[in-house]
Amino acid sequence: MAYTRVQNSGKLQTGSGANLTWTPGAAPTVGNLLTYRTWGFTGAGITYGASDVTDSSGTPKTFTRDAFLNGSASTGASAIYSLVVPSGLTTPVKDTNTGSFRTAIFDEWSGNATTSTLDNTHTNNGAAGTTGTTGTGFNTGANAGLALVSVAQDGGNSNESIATTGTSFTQDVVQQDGNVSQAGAGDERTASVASQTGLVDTWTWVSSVVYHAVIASYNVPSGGAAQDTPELDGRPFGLGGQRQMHQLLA
Amino acid sequence: VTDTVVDTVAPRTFQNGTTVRPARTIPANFAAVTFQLNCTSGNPASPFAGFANPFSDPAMAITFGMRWSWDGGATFAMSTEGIQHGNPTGVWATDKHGNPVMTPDVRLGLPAISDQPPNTYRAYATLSGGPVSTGLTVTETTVP
Repeated sequence: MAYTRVQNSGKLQTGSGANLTWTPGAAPTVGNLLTYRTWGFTGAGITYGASDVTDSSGTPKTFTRDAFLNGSASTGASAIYSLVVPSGLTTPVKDTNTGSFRTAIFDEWSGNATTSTLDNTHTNNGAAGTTGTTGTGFNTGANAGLALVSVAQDGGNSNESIATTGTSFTQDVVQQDGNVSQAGAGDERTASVASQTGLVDTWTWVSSVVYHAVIASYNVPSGGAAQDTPELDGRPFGLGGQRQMHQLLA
Repeated sequence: VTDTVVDTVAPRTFQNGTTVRPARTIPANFAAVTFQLNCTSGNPASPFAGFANPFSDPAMAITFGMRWSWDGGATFAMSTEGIQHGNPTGVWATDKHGNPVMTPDVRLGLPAISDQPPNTYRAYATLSGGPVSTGLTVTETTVP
């Protein structure tokens, strides 16, 4: 079993501190994984709260803040949140943060573990330079099928845009600076093999910057990542059991 | 990168409710669409306090963004947007130089369902706790 993206919000970006929200095209499937990657800047220092990302109900279903680096004054910040879709989830899902300059993306994934979903996390608070990384090497556990990255560059008053991004990763969303926004990127890597070691996501900046990078990996069901799942009529068939049989019967 | 203003509404007083703009076909090389509220018209630009309208009322909220269609505008299955609340101090946000801004904006890229992007969108804004005076500007960004 591998991670498959069901739907996503595309880029969400504000320069005025608006809450950012997404109403999916179809109600997220119970048991799937919702993720939210974000980065931003605000003059007084942005803080990504533990309960910032929720559904719309009066008793909200709250995303878990899996990895984050908050910024002090004039620095960027980045965070990754996730939520295994519970029954009763209401949309739109929301980021209630009001930091001035924020960019983000919501995704719904299938193929995830529904318990012990989060595998591993790492943060890298990078010093000034023209390149940046998630660290010297990120190792997943035995069942990881997805790695997500969010990076924010420093929020100074110059153009500090990203020149290139995402070595060994796919760039899902990027925001340039232009001295009116907050440069950063949201990258991802899916894998059908277990236990990836030494993962490094890298970026090149237009000018020397400091940056805040976070990475988080997520599990497939126990034992699922190492399986070579056979297909029947293009649909998975075999080990992994109930969900796949349910698909065949649907 | 080319920014093209594709829709404007001159500043006027909006009552509570939803304003929907005409549907637009997503152009080739589409990168993002920006929806900006121009709230300074008719209001003091500084010190952003003591408005006659509810910009300083936390109960005021403007939800503004895009509804996306995969069937040429017959149905709009998905939406992405921002929500701007009134602020007791009248200050909504500051620009990178620390100056207050009264031009709330959201910049939205293409969403996807099963990796398929939409083909049509339309801007909308929903106001509660109003009325407020604002103009609207929609700008498409394309990258050759």
